[in-house]
Amino acid sequence: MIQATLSGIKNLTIGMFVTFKNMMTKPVTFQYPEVKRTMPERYRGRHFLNRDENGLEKCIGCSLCSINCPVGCIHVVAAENDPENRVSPGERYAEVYEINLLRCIYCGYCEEACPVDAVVLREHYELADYNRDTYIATKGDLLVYPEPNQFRVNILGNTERTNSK
Amino acid sequence: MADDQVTLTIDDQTVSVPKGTKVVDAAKSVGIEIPVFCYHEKLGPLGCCRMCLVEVEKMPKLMTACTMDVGPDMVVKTTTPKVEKAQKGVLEFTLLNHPLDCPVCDKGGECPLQNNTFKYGPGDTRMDFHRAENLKAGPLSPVITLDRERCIACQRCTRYSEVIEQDNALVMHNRGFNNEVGTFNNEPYDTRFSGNVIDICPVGALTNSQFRFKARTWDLTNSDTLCAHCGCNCNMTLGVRTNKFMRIEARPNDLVDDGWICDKARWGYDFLESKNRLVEARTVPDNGTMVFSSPTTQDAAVRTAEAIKKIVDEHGPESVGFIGSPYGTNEELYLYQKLFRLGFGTNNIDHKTYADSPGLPIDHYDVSEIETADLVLVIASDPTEELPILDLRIKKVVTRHGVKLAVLNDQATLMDKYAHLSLRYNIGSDAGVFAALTAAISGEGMADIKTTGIKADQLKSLVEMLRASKKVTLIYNSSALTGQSVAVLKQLMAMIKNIPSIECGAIPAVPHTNAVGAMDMGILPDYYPGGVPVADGEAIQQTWGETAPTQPGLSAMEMIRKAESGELKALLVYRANPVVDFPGGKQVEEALKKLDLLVVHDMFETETAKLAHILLPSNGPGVDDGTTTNIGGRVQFRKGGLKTAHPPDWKIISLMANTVSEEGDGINYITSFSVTDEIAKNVPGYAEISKKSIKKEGMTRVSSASINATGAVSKESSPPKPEALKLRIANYLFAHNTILDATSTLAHHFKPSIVHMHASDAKKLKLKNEDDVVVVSGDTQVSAQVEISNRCNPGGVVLPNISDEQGVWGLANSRDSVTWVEIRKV
Repeated sequence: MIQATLSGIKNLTIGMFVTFKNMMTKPVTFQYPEVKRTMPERYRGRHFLNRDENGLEKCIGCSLCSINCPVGCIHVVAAENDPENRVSPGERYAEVYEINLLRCIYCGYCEEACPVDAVVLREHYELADYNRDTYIATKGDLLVYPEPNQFRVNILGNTERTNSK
Repeated sequence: MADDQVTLTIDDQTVSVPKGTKVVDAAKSVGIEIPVFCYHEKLGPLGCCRMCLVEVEKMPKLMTACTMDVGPDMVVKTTTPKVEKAQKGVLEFTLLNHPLDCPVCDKGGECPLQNNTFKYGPGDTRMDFHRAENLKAGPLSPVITLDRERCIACQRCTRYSEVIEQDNALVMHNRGFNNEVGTFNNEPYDTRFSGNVIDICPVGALTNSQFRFKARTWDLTNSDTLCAHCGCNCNMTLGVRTNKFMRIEARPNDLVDDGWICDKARWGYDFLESKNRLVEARTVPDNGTMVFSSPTTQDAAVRTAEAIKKIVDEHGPESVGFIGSPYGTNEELYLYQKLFRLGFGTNNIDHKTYADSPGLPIDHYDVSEIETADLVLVIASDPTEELPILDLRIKKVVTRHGVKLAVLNDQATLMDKYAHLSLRYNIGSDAGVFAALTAAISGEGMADIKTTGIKADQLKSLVEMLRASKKVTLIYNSSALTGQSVAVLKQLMAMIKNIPSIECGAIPAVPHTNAVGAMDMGILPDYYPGGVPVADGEAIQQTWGETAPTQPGLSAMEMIRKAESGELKALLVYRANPVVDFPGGKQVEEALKKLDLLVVHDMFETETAKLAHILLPSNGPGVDDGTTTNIGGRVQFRKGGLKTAHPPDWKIISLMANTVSEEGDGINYITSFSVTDEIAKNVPGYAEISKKSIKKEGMTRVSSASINATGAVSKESSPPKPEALKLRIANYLFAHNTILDATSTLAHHFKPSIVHMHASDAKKLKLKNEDDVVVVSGDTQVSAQVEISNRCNPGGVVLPNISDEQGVWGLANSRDSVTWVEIRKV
């Protein structure tokens, strides 16, 4: 019986060894959403449109992102710049730039194709929402680099976005 | 013939081509591509871009394939390392100062420089210095943007201006590094055919200002369609993005347009999105039975059919009428004549106000036949303003193929410059000239031609010219002839045909899109489709059944007159605007107001549409499918490009037909081709026309034989007042009307009203150049400025129709063949 008990303790120790060992280490999980993960630099999350050092839009409306998109989720309508009141540095700018984030497969081909580094996929991965319409990201949405999404539980018990547009 | 064929080897392939072919074209014929920039098959060789270098055995250096004729047993190599190195070198030089702004360039995606660089070019550049800076995006004309930085000086555009347009408007300035495209004194380059330089420019130096930055070329949905402006029916591509009209490009079809389109074809399509378009059916409540607000087109069509049927039942079939339009497609016109003949039992069907009848005593030549003729005789036609692409083709054959050109007209035209013989008869004496010519050819001797304004020796030299030629092409515009003279002209044709040594054919050059088709489809009071006269009861009943009416109906002008007298109760006007375009002006408007029922089926809010009791919208070209027949008798498919939920015209018409059909079920056409198939079955001459046979280049229909035309030379009418002058209304290509409205891209071509006078008349009336005058006929006045240009013989004036507002047709007399006008100074 003693032998059986000793063997039990031994086996238990062996069994719990990994547990005890990991009790001392930093956990791999974290308290989401209070704590957010830092994504790798080349992570392909939500798209953004860059501005240049003068604050002008980098996008020249060439539609190369759109033609390279394997799912066809980008729609660009270009227009000519007014030299007095420039939107982008070149001759042309994108009057309409829309990405359907639901259709997008986040492959990053648009970023690859962009000749002026205007469209980029950044580390934003929190894309959940309650309304399908908000997934058509327009130029206004894409040009601002937003704070990560924040939610709270309101008095009705529903979750709502506190920094919604 | 074996003698004319040359056999050579290109890249181990044996090629046999006609003598004189360039190596580049010979290679193309067997699918070997030799890259080119400056060479264009219509412009001929130049050899300035050096892109087409190839290696030829026994020749020490690389040769330019575009300037080299094929030779027997020549061995050409296009892919050797030596050639590839040369191509890389040439491209590196070409790209030295090219800005490489492909992402912003409108040519991107369809750019030969881009393609050739991708295929044959170096991957990188060794250029370390700043590229040359030059004019970026300046206007070459209001519709063409010039970017001198992108220009590679291939001279395609300037050679186009020199060889094809033949007016040298666009030239190369300066030498060497400063070589640049431009015009004299930086005048805008706004000729009638300027747009073609956009298509032939191998880089993005010349771009379409209307299309500038509107879409990338790969985003466009292109539909192969036809131009819907003049009777040439040039082939073009309609670019559409998200159901919005974007641009027009030429689509070469050598049998029709020789690869070019005019500026009206390229930029005259703003009407597709015009504010004046009819978008929904409308009825006027005060018209008794039809009180309902904003009906659907289908509702309105059913009510239309019921209302006309009611009038037919009450007042008989001769109390209703149909005025069609030479702008409709064959299908639409065919269905309308069927509706009125079989549904309403009337022959009151017409589409024109001038005299003409279907069929020719001689062959109906296709446009390309001009190239093999040795005499082109242009009668009363002004191709430059009426059928611009025909003008290009005539210029081409006269200057490059050695074809002789004779012009017989009552006004000076730009064709005179190229003519070997140019005769100008007095306005209104056309029948006299034709009769005299007939007499002279038949050997009856010279008739008295004093009153026609042509000298006897001039007529003699024309006869000699005719007799000396083997193949003659007559180009005549019956809408510019007076009275019944078209019948006299047909007698002249029959007379020429009798000369055994002459092969002769004619091209009826009425300027409207489908004027030939409208005649073929029987939009005539006295002919059924295919030129079957109403008197031929047996043939008609065989095709159209027992009930088909065999009494001649009223012509368009007669219908207007009967409407005035109250005998005509209902009129359906399809895509025509009688108030503006018919002789009579105000009188026509008053007559139409007296109708019990006026139905207008049109694309726009025209002056006639404003009078309508029921208004049916029409989709028209760019949207509806259908076939049209061009001046050469070639039937082609005009595809729509834009989509709409509104039913196409052929559906609206067949709905009307089903409403009045006694069987109740009627016929249900599935597509416009179902109607085409019925046309092939029922219209003589169209038997071979089907979706398949007209697919690529279209197909010529068989012209109907002419019924022996009898037309006598009518007596000259005498002037009502001694100072009265004879009026000739000329056409202007860019007239300001519902098609080219004030917002049109071509608005810079609009002209002020000008009356062209002969110096002797001006002297008599004491008028100077630029005097403001009014041209008066009856109660109608048209204000204009005098230009003493000797455009017509003394005793006449030429007044170009420059806008709807000007209202020149109001001056024309609806009953007489010649209109006398007075010029009064204001």
